[in-house]
Amino acid sequence: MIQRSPCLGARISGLADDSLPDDVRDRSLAHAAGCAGCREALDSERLLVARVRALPAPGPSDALMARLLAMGETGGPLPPRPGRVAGTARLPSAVVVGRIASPSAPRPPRLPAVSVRPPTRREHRRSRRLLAAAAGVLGVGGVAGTALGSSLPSSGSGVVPPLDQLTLQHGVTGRENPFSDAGLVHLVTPGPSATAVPALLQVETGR
Amino acid sequence: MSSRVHPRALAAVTVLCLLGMAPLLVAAPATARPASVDAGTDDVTWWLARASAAQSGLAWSGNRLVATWSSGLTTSSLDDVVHEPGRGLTVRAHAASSGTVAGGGHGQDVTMPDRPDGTSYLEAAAGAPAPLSLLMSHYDVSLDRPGQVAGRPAHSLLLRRSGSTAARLWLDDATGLLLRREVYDAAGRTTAAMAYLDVTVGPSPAPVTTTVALAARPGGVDAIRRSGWVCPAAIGSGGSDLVLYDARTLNATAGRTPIMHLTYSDGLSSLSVFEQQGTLDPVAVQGYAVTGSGSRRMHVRRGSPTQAVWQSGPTVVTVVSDAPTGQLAAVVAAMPSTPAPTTARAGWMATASRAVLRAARWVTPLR
Repeated sequence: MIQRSPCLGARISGLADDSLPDDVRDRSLAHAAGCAGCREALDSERLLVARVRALPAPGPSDALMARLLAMGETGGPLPPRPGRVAGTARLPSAVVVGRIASPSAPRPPRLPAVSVRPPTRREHRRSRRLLAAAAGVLGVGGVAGTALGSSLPSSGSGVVPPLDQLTLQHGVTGRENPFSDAGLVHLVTPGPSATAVPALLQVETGR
Repeated sequence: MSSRVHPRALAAVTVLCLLGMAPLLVAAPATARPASVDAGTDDVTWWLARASAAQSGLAWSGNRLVATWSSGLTTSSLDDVVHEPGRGLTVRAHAASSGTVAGGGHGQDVTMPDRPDGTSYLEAAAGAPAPLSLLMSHYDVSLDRPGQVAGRPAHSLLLRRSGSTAARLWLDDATGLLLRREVYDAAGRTTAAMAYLDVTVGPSPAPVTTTVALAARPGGVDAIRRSGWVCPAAIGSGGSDLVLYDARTLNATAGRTPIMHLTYSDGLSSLSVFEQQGTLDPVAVQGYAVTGSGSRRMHVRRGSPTQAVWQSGPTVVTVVSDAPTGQLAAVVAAMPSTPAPTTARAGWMATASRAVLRAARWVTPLR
């Protein structure tokens, strides 16, 4: 299926499956970076391409293969067909989920019988005590959990990693590695620290 | 690929290697504009060393596209980029998709110096792997084909691992500058791309001298571990491991919580591990997706790059990474999984919990 984007048209399909020439692809990607409509079309096209590529290679179904293989075998007598053939006596056969059970087939073993007797008064009392105890525990636990949970949004004294600055530090260190992605990082949120990367970097010089 | 070594190329590599080694010596000129050399050699080491030198020694500006694709997440950003030797790379994102981490940074300049401040623990340690040698040891690099990027003649290098193409780098014929970079997954799909749409190489800058004062830092990794930090030498296993190549302490001034920064790479992907002593404040990770449970509970924000934060014993670990997501699991596996230390309130909670459980056992008839 070829989707069309508002600006890139049918090129969006080639962009999704990497079939465009390099320069056309770069220009198209640059446009998609700033055009929400084309980006959305590209995302859905890429998703489609990924799903199509993930599909298994088409082949004959297992059932068809089984039937084809069975045709090559010598085979035994055909199974009896359900229903009565004209001129013969009716047999007490029963269809059990896809197979025909003949009267001579062995029956499955019976499970041992379980005696069912009504609970005694003592057991009734024990059950009531158990239920009451469980309700009590749940009640106490619920009240305690609610009270504790409502007072724990933040400890206030915990560690708050400076994620923006750590991300930039990752980029700065990564720039020593010219072929990695690390130098391509950006900030999550702009702020005064954004332009002052070394501000965090009070680097120890002698430990 | 022929292994013929051009004498001119050999001389250039020697000069560039010496320039690359300069920062490791005490107070030496670190950067210089690379000489313009005729393209044509097929020695990939020459191409890589030249590109590495151009990255810090060349002045350029341009319009750059950065995009990533992974399952369920697409990011793209269009940046104005200016590089000045000695000052660093200044980036201004003027268009970015909502999925990219750059979302909030529109219109604001961000300058990243060519070298981080201070001293790495590993620079003083003999044999610390340089990123270029990591690339050569993890990938089979070959010269692929000539072409054009941003209207400039360029050659592409092919990086292969385990028989499949992992990445392709286009390097400017005239200057060695990295003009386009594409990374592929095992199925050959592009997962990350960077490309200059136009680039202008500035006038020849005066040689810049940056003094890097290196203190003697004996011990390297052992010194880090003796100080109580967890410091794996590599992340992952087999041929896809990321190797530790930089380690430094941030916020080392009095009154600030020190942060240990460990950087891992295979030459193509980078992963930073930051360690801080203490208990993670939940406020710090509001809005992050939670994965795992118990001592492996992790707060993750996927993007370019991906951030992950979790409590590992007495340490808060933050990972920032461009590496494939599988490497994140390897980092978690490499860190201790002991539970977080109990704060005063947590201790009170534990006592209350034990009391409730004891009462429950007392009233439960089925003991």
